Amino acid sequence: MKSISKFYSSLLMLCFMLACSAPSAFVYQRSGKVVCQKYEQDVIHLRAEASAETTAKAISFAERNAIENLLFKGIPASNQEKPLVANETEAMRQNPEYFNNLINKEDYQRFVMKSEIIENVAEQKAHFVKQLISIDLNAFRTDLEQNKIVRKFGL
Amino acid sequence: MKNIFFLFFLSAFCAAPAFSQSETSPAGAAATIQPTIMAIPFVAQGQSIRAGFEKNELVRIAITKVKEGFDNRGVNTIDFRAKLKQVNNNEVLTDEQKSSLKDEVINLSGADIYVEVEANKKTSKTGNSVSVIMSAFDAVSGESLANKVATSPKFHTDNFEKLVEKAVESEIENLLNTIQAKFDDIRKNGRTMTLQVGVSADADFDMDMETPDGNLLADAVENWVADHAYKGYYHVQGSTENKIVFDIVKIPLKDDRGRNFRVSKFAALFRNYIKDSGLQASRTIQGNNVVITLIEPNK
Repeated sequence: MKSISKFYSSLLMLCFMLACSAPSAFVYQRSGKVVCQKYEQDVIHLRAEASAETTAKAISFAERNAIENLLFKGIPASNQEKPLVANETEAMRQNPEYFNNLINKEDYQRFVMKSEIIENVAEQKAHFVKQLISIDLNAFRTDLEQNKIVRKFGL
Repeated sequence: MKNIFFLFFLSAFCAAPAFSQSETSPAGAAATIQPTIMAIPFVAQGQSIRAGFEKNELVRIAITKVKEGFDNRGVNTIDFRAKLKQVNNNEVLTDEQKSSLKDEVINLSGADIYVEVEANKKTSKTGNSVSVIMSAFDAVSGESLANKVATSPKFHTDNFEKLVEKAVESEIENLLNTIQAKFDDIRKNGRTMTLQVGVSADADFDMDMETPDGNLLADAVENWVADHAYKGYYHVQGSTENKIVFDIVKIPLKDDRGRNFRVSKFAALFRNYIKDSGLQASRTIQGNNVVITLIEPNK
């Protein structure tokens, strides 16, 4: 009996230690904090905000958020008001590998022409960034078409 | 004790990755039908489309930029100027035929979609700008596919050509995306046609005539349309004793053999049904509008 209670005590201790040591404060979550700064026919310049425990991670979150908004939500007052992918759930279900590479493995970097910090506020536990990201729309759309994620223009 | 298990269970869930799309199924993609598009100048009723194009430099630039936008997306475009010249070479159109020149060019071009382009200057003390109106239509049915108004930023400049470029560039992608959204809807829900079924003026029967199975003729017609409309989708605009008007009847893009399903095929199927019912019918097809007139067999 004593050994069982010792086992559970150690297990509880282990869980407690894991909970204390894991920096779980900042997990990526998509937000609507993406606005169009300016646009040309084939390039869109987006301003995205994000926070994380490091500046590098906050930049990554901001870039991912910009890409996901462009893909699945569309950007108001821009040349991409409609999302590039019309049905997120269906596209994700049919092409898990493509989206895993594109989003989780940051394959989207191929379409990021420029990414620069326009504001960086570093506090003790959080780094907040405003990032200006220029995306090559034409190349991005062509990649989606070639991988049959979206259809080419037409019926 | 239960709390310990709960904590352990919870910690295991917290460690799971946020992104998890495990279901796999290959993307099935049907071949895309590439429509041909032609940008044309907007002209008011009675005005010459040729004059609208040749005398307005802003419109010419706007048309060129619209065409360029379509070309960038890999869309097949038709050059309006070339088609206009072709009509000119035919030398069959006189001044009295001005109003039909637009239809002539559209028909001759073979374009599936045409985009009407209108460009207007706006001058003010705070700067000059240009607005461009772009309206896309299905060339066969005349159905509107997309409309966009693009306005350039204000600049203290007289270079209106550059302002036109800026305006078109700002909205051409949205115009294309809206047309594509319309295409996606057509692929999913079918094309829209209208159907009007009426009895001829000298007929001895009307739509309230009882059919052998006890239904009224109007009800029998509606039942047939309900059975043959794509996904059963139709809408009756109105029905009288002389005619029944369907303002929406959905038809598929392709038939069972993968060939284009034309409006005329739907009309032919309906005529066969009418013949089998012991009546005769004449039909008129204009674009996506079908008018069927029911007549007695001996007349």
